[in-house]
Amino acid sequence: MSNTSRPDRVVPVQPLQLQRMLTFTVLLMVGFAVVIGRLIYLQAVRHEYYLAKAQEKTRRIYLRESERGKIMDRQGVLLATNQRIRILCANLAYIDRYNDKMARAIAEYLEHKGVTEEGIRQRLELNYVTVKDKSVLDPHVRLRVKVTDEEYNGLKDYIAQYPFNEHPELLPESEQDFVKQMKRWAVFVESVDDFKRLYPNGTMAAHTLGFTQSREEVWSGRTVFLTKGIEGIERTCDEWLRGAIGWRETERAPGVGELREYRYRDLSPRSGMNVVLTLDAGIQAIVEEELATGVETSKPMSATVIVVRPQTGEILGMASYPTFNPNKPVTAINNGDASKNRAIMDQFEPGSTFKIVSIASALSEGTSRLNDTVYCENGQFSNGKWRLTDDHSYGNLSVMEVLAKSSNIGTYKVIREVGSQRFFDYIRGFGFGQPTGIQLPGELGGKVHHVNDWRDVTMSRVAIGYTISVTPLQITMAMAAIANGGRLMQPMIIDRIEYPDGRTMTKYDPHLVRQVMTEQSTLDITKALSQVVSDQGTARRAELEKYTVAGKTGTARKIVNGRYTHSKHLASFVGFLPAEAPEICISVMFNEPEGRGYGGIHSAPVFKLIAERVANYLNLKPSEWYMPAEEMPEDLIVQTRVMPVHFQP
Amino acid sequence: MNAPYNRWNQHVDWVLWLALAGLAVIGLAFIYSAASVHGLSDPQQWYQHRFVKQMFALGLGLVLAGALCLVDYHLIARWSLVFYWASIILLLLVLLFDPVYGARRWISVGPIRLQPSEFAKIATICALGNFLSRPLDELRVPSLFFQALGLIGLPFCLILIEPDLGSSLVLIPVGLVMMFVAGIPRTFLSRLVGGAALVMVLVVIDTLFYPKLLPVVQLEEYQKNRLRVYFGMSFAPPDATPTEKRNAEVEKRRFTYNVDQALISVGSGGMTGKGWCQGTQNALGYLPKTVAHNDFIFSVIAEEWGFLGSMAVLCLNAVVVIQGLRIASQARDRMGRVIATGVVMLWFSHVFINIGMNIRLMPVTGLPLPLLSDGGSSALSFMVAMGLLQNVKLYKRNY
Repeated sequence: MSNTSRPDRVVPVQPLQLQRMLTFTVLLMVGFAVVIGRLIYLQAVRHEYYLAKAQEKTRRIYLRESERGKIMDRQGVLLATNQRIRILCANLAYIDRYNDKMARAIAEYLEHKGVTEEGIRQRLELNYVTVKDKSVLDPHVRLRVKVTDEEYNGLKDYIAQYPFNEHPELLPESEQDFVKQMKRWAVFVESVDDFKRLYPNGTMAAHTLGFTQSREEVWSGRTVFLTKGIEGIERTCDEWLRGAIGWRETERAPGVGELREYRYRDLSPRSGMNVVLTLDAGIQAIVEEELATGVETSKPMSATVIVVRPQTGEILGMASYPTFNPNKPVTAINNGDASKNRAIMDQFEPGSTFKIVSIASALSEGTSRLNDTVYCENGQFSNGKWRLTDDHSYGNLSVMEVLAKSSNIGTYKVIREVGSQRFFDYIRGFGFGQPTGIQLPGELGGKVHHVNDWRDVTMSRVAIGYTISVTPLQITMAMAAIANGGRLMQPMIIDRIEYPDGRTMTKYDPHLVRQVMTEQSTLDITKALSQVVSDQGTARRAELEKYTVAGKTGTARKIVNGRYTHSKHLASFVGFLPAEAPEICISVMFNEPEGRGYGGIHSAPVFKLIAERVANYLNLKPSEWYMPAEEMPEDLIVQTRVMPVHFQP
Repeated sequence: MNAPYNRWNQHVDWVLWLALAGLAVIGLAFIYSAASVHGLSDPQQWYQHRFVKQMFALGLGLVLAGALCLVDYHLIARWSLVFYWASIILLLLVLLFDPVYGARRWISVGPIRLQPSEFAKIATICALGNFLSRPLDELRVPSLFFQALGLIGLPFCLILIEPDLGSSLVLIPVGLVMMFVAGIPRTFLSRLVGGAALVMVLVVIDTLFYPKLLPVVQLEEYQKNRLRVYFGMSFAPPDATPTEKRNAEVEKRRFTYNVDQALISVGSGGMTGKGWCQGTQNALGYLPKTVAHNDFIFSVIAEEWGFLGSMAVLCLNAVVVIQGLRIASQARDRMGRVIATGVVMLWFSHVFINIGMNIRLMPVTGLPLPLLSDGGSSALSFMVAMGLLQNVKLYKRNY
């Protein structure tokens, strides 16, 4: 080919070279075209894909947890609040050669949190990080321990007095100075948007308050950990308490984390609402103290006390044994027995306390009157098919005495006049067989067999509180209805919901469920019930010095292996005071107390102690007089009452 | 009287220099963008900033290029062997220095770091141009062909053992094209190309499939890994244990990281880009800060200025290449043509290989993008190369 080019040509450019230049040029242009084609593919065709990939890595949503609302008692005493959590950090530059001793000091102070010396020591090792591709020493280390302000301050104090050297005065001045600086600056905290639920009074009202737990939840399509109410008020009012989560959308860089400059959405969290309960911390404290004392003497399996204001149904105090500490929810979850709110979750055959319902329905129906005489068969009654016995044998008793002495046979004979259908209506009317509707989770309704299913024997058993099951709250509310002129109230636990600044958002009003019995008949039964708490009755131990008490004991045998046993009982006492103008209604239940399980022995004394202190606490007006109920001038009592407007059991 | 002025006025290739100025400005802007470290205050003095250094290198290169144009390129060609051997000595000298990032590529003189391989490329082009300017008949002598090969082979080998595979390999197309244009018989060239291609294929097969065909010629492990990344092969040999395979996977992810991030940068840029200094891949450091300002500067441009920006870069480079080809075809003699062609090919190779690795057309090699990538030696040597090109145009008529 090169033969074609001749050096004697005039034109300096040889055709061969020109041709080769052209080839070369074409080659280069093809190269450019390939690059351009690839760029079009990447930047136009696949743009969406790569953009999504870029954003998926950099864009982050950081949640800002809202502060959970507080729970207070009716006086504003904090029952549940929050504590800001901080992360414990250390500055290695201030620690240097003292890292072993510092690790020991921190571990010693925080031992109760499960902090080990070895774990801290490892964190206090030299900490290398990569910045700009160079490995540099980062003196700032996180100890991976979350502390509260109190714990942090305590730790600082602990470190300040910790003996880092045996004889500090012998050290050179520079060394002394170093230790001084270390004690002051080596340990510090970083604030995080995190709260720990705190129940400042420990176990107080634990069953009512419930507890919270950090739970996985799907939020805007993302799985996040949120504080969630698991039990009690924390659960029922979770929607109010939790508030609104805030978040910020931002860019993040590898190794650096969130970039403040690139934040483009930042929503502050909104704190949750405060919940104000009807509970009174003072009464709750009394209840829990006296319950503890009673538990010590009676040693029951479990126990419950409820204090209710009869006029409104407000629960002033409510305690269960065994109890738990909501500050340690893990133990509560593992120990379901302790976290069970027995006032609403225990169902049992009430025994004699249920006789108030039987007698009340008879009085209200008018089939019996207080002074009617009933023959009690000397303690042994049989109609050929089944038998009914009394603990003590009685002859003729008035209806009042039947209640006071708690005669089974007498009660049956009284209720026999009412008839099973009407009796059933009254039982349902008093709220048995269905939940009371208190704003607490997990409430049970008890069990009342329908009247159509009753056999011949059933009424005799139901009349004295067997073959039905009730919750402590139901029987308390039934007694409160008697104290409230026959008006059954719905039990209230939440008084109001408040904004975080204290303004009231929602106020809950007392709710009348129904008029159960005639108002007049409540006066009669109150008379009878105050006979119970007298020398004549079963509950002498519930008698108070300054107040007349109306109440009823109960000693229900429990079923073991399908038979009623004589060794295990449910000892109960339900009563209210002052009998002539009731202000509080109190129930005390001991499940399987030690020894003979009479309600009059185990529950009545506890009732007395609680009633005395609560009455003083509430400054109740003492009863001006005390006289036997049969001598009570009827007109005097009538004047304090309003006649019932309507009556529909 | 004003003949020199006229000559300058008529023969300075303003189009070429405008394109170069455009590239330099874009380069400085994006070095600034890529070197600004997010979230950390830059402790450097202003004169220590990368783009200031780069500006200085470009200015110095412009001065050198101007100085180069004061003498006819024939004079330079006559002295070219001196430059050539000087650069060979520098390449030997560089081997005495401590490795940086696992390679001995730089000579440190006080605060200045020189990369002799960049200058060796220019010196080799000059020397080869001078060598190939002999009469055409002589070029058909095989021994001369082998001498020409040796002229390329010496710096090739010296740069290879630094190691800097990219810079040494780029000498091959440059040398081939220069010989092609100079008029070396096609048979010689085709044999050379065939032989080189065979070796390349064997190396690639050896790297990817482990048959151990070439016990002597072995790439460095990181170079093998780059090849494996390019071909999407596993890092683990076929007989590896599960643990080794898992480790190899981790290793592969580490190696593919830069390329993957570069692809995401380019692709996410879209049509108009995210704006200067606004690219998340670049500014937030997903595209590693160690490479964003030099080897992967194109990704930064493509991300922040989008398709339009990358097309601007490509067009400016195309202008440089086309003007270079015009100068080559209008050169006074074969020497001028060969030298100009060599410079153009060097430029194009750098552009193609660098952009190619940014958009996954080529395996990763550390070749800088002319005038855009951060790097004083590279900027300086490319300005000198452009001076050489301008020189060929300037002295195309020797009156």
